[in-house]
Amino acid sequence: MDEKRLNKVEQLLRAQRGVELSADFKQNVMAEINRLPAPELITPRKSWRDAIYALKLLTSGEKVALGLILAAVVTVLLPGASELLAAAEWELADLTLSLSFGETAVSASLASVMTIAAGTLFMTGVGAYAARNNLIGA
Amino acid sequence: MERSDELTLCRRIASGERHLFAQIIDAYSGMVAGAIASQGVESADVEDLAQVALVNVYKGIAGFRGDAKLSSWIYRIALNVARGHLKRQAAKPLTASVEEALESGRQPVDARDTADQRTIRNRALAQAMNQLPARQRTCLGLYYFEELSYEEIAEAMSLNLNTVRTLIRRGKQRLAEILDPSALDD
Repeated sequence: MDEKRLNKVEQLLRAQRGVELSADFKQNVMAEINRLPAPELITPRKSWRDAIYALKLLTSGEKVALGLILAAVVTVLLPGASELLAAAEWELADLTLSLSFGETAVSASLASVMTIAAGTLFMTGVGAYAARNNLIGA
Repeated sequence: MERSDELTLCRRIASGERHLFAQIIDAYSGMVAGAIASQGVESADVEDLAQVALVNVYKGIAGFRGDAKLSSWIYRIALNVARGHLKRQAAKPLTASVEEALESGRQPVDARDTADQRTIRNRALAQAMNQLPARQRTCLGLYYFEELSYEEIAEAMSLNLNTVRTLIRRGKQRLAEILDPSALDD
């Protein structure tokens, strides 16, 4: 791209002016507003929007949770993962996930792990949908 | 304005202190008009639509929660008003538009061809701008015509700062390609 040409475009753009609103624009808007009741009285409550908002708030940790799930899936799929997990005294057998952290052992049924994973994915979906459609703050 | 200040201002307006809405008009009317003009709205309609958008801002201000910047929220309202207007115009039968135009004594024209005519006095530039993708056109308009900073544009359009820089740079490059050399002559 010719630098000189770009500079000329720049000059041309800078020479233009913004939209010129009439002098009484502000007055007109204020006059219009003064005919209306206070916004608190005219904003309709949208219960579905509140529900999505509440769900969005619940998804605050969704990225971390999703990352952990993906990390777990990748780890399990890696060759030699079972040996690695066994060395850490972690085990997935008989539909139960057993984790060992030093002297503490935790176990959870596979069903509950799957439920949590599904819930996290659902919340992530809600969060993405709400963000994409500007439902929050609008 | 800090986000907490924005939220306080909005809450006060929502609770009935409507005179404070003048601060919103002062701060954002240029951006609102620029955003509407950048959508290809006929320049004669920009001011009316800016007024509609700001009244909509007032009506909805009680629902503003402060999750987004106030500028982004207002920008989205302005875009919705502009797009709604363009949709209604597109749905109007052409014959009605021609008749209306003849009655009012003006030439029937394509709205896109006349966008920004009042503001962009160079017709060649206006036509070239209309060939740009919407986001490039809006970013260039807000930066050069409304004199918003990169940061303000990024906040208003909910874009990354680098994306705004890229859109403006590419927009200028594209304009340099589209514009006839005579339009760039001194």
